[in-house]
Amino acid sequence: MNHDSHTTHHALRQMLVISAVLVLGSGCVASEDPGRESGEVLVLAAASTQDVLQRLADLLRERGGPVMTISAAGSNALAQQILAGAPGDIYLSADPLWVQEIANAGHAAETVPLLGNDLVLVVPAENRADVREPGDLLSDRVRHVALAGEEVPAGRYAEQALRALGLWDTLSGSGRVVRGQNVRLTLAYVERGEVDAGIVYATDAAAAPSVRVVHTFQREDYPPVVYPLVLTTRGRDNPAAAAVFAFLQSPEARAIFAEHGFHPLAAP
Amino acid sequence: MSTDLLSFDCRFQYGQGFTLESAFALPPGISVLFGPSGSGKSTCLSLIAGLLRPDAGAIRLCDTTLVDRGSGLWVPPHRRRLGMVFQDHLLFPHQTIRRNLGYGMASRDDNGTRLAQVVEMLDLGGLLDRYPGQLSGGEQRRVALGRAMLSEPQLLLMDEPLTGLDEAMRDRILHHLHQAHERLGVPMLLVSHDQVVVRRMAGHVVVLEEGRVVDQGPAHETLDRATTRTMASHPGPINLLRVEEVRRSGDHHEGVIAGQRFHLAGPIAPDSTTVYVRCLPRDVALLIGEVSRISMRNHLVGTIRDLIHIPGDHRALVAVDVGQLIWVEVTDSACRELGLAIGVRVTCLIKALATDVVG
Amino acid sequence: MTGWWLTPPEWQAIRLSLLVAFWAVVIFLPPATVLGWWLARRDFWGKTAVDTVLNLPLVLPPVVTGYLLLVMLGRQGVIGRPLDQWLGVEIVFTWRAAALASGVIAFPLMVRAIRVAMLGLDTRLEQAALTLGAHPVRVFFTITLPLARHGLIAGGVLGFARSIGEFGATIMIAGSIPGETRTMPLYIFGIMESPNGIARAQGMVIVSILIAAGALIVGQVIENRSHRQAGGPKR
Repeated sequence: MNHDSHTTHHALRQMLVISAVLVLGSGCVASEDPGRESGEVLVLAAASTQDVLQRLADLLRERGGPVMTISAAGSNALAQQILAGAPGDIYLSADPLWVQEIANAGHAAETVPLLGNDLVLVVPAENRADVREPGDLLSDRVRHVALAGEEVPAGRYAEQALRALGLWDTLSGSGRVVRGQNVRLTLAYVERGEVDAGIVYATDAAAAPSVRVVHTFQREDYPPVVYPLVLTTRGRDNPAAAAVFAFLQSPEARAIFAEHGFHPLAAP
Repeated sequence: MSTDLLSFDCRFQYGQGFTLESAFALPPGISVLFGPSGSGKSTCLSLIAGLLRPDAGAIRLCDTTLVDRGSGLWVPPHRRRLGMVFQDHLLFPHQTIRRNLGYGMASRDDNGTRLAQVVEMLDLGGLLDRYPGQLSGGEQRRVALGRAMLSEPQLLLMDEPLTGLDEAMRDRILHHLHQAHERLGVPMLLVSHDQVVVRRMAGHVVVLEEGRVVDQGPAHETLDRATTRTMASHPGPINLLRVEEVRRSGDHHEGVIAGQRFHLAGPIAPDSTTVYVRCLPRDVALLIGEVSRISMRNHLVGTIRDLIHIPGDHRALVAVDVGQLIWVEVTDSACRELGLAIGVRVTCLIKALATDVVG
Repeated sequence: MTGWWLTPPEWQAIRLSLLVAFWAVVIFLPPATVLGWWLARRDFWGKTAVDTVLNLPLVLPPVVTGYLLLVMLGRQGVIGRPLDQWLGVEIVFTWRAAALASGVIAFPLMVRAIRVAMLGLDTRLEQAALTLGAHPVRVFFTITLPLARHGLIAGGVLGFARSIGEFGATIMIAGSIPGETRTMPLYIFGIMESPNGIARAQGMVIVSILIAAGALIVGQVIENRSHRQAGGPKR
């Protein structure tokens, strides 16, 4: 008896200590600057741009250009890293709001709107609910519709697109909207057939062979999807970063972005 | 065979070590498994209760087979209707004494008469609403006894029911056990390594040593034989003499052992006519010939039945039959000088003050 | 800091978290008890394997656990499909899924606490109960469980606290549906996605710390109290 209560006491105390450490630890962010060799460029990239950036990085390396190291995550996580002083030379964001935040905090040396994207309606391969256009989302056959979270751009845009079509109020009131954590999870719900339809970026849909795109939303119906490219104040001091920054805006890079389904935006 | 209460014939091995391989039969009444610790007594109880499974053999209680490895028959412990009193009581610490006592009640006890009967017999009245942790060792043992009895067992198994208790408590429990047996007619099987307990309790005794039955039979005879054998390795025999026709004589009590007068020292319960007296073999002296004037009050005449020299110890144990068997410890040299041998008539001298009346 | 007062959606998330954690414990504590008892008492072939599988949710990324649950319980899943088609029971994207995910993640913690308690229990008390003619099931409920109650309480509390914090598996199988599956962690994660989210999340961060710490403290208090009652000798 003594032994067991001792052990549970111990376990509880351990839990308390661990949670305290986690709570305190979450406040601080590692501030060391990992030693960077010259010619190396750290690119913080929105998850949806990882594949295409990797391709561009490979291309650059073949030519003996600067080495791009890509750290892919959600745009918000990356932005928070930059705000906390993490070493990043270039930031390709899926969310202009976060870029604004970085600029306000004085971390952005230069910003250009680099890419655009389309919002599409996708369904599982078998499409049992027979969804052909956005209006079908209200049909009785549809039980769940997956959107990205309301705080991530894909979720915000999807909401506005549906609002423009006059579908949003009914749809959100019907309780059939499921919010994925991000576009990738939203897409996964569609791929697995857990939902009857979902709204994601065209580029993500193109990367998922098992879903079908049934509708592409009109660009006028929602704010333009813009991926701003940011040269950070830290990157400004790195000559290689400036070279990569320029390369990503080159016609050659734009062509490759286009191959992956992005709309390269006109250079300002 | 059918008159036996219990027949036991089992083999059981603990890991690679100790093997129990014993067969015995018990008549109705009170029986004792006797032997030194580690001889397999408690293992036998566990096998009977169904807490252990024999590797081979069978156990039968009355007409019911409890386990038979040959035919694969197995009655699980909760259907054996055996009450077990464990050496460490094993009262349920989270339940009141009342709930502990009632836990095993086999039949409905609507107006609580059976409970009341046991509570009265074991004097548990004031304890019912307490928890086991609040009770003394003796109280706990009485509760354990009551709890087992209330489950209406066909046989009550008790593992060292008197070990670790002081003299007074021991007497009380022995008294309760006798009462329980007389009033409720429950057959009992005790495990003990204590001769005093065995001699006072048992009708029948099974002597175990190293997992084997070395002797069995009526208690007193068997024990007298058993002590002969086990003496070298154990504390040796203790004399427990039955004194009858106890009465007051002036300022002391006296009684009779096999027709010979016996002086008692110390207080005697007023209503006792038969008491047991304990004395150590080394407190008994032997005399050949007539006693003249001596302060030792008790002179019991008898014949030497057995003489055992304890190897390497220059001592001998002499068993004198004075109507009951008395063990006497003497030195080898005394033995030689007095010419002690089997068949020799001697007088046992016992100081009244060297005896304990044990109830 | 935008206000200490919580907004209705925040209250909703808190209420939902408590509901989900409550059901996670209610549903998973009984099997955890049986399993903890089984593992403490029985030796059998393949015990190590059972132990390993049981503890997987503790070490696997919760997202992976969530994905496996999705594969099993989803509308196309081996269990989810028959449930959905024959019984019309939908699990994925409901609060039941959130409770299930939290429960699965917390399950090893509950089993562990209960198992430790069962190991510390004197099995001879159960034997004594058997010799008194009590059926093993009765022995389990009247002797084993009451004597292992500290383990049950500890398991329940740890499970509850862990469920309150569950994120990865829940987002996979339950999505993030306001009022249905958006528990506190999901809510906090969601608003952290937006630039001013950190400030908005602060109230909820504090609430989740309070709830988790509160659960642990309550568990401690209950345990201490039950330890004092009965059980040990009173002085």
